[in-house]
Amino acid sequence: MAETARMAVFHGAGKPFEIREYPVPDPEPGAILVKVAMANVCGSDLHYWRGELDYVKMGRPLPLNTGHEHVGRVAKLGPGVTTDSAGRPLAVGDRVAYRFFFPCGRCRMCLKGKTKSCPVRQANFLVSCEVWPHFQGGFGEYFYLRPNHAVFKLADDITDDMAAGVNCAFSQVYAGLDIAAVRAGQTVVIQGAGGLGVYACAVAKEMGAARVIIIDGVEERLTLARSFGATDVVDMREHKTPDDRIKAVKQLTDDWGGDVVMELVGNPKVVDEGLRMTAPEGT
Amino acid sequence: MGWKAEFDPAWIIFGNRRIIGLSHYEAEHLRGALDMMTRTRTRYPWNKIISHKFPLEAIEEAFVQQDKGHVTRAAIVPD
Repeated sequence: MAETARMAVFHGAGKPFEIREYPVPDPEPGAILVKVAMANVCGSDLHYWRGELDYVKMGRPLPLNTGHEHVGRVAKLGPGVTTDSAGRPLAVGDRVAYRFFFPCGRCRMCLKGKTKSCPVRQANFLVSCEVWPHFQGGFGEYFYLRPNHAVFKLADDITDDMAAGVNCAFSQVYAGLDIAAVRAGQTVVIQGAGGLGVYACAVAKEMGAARVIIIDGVEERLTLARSFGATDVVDMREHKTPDDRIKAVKQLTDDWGGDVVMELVGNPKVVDEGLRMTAPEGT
Repeated sequence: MGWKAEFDPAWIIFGNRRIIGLSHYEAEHLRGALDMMTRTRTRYPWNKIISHKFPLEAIEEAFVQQDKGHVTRAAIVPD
């Protein structure tokens, strides 16, 4: 196929993205070619861009097609693909959400059903964009959904704006609160009201939390968190030190602390504070 | 990564607390998240997470703006 398409290529921290053209891949049996509609800049994207995650030192195969939080539509179905992962018929043009990484399906973790821990999974930050199928990530016109994918057709009333964050941030906090086993009536404390934190408020609420306490210091973020179900706010402009914030959480919880405390700041400095506002037997 | 966090292990032991590390998720979680969004689409402003949109050519600018905190979550629209 002679057709080419654009991609933003990452060469390492401190170097600007480069727009390059690569050949558009033809899907092999079991694969799907997706036309990317929208790809978000996730907090972890900032980590490698700033160099806090040093891809050179980590031995990552540069250059990379980064971007993993995205949504798109089916451009071409590989032979044998007729349905999504829920068994619904799938056709060219359907809007889809999908997992951005591809567990092998054969290793010890995959066989245990713990595919998120597959050590040999393929993902856009593990395979260079120089290697076929090139479109490994979200910051480009296409995304290649390898065989062994998980893909779900989107309902018409779920817009691209709504769905773009589903395959990373939203699913990530959904998994976290599922694994932490939030129960009806519990208190969930969330450190950080970025994308993850805001999603976590709604998920905690829907999983039955009676109290969802959000900690942040930016007005717009706190307001957004409230509209996503946060019942209480610990404002860092008011509670400036870790001790102040622990006290504020304790005051809201009859001195117990949170049954589940989620660290969604991405800074090791807040770990101790989070632990100290966790109730006995808490997670 | 070389990052270190300092905390008192006794606080975890004597309080029977636990820490769970998490990266990635199972396919079932993606399905659950989508179902939750469909079920609650009028309850939460799901479309408000993305605050700004940038074309692919302006991706560097999107990172700069989000890094500075001027943008809560940028979306890149390839075309």
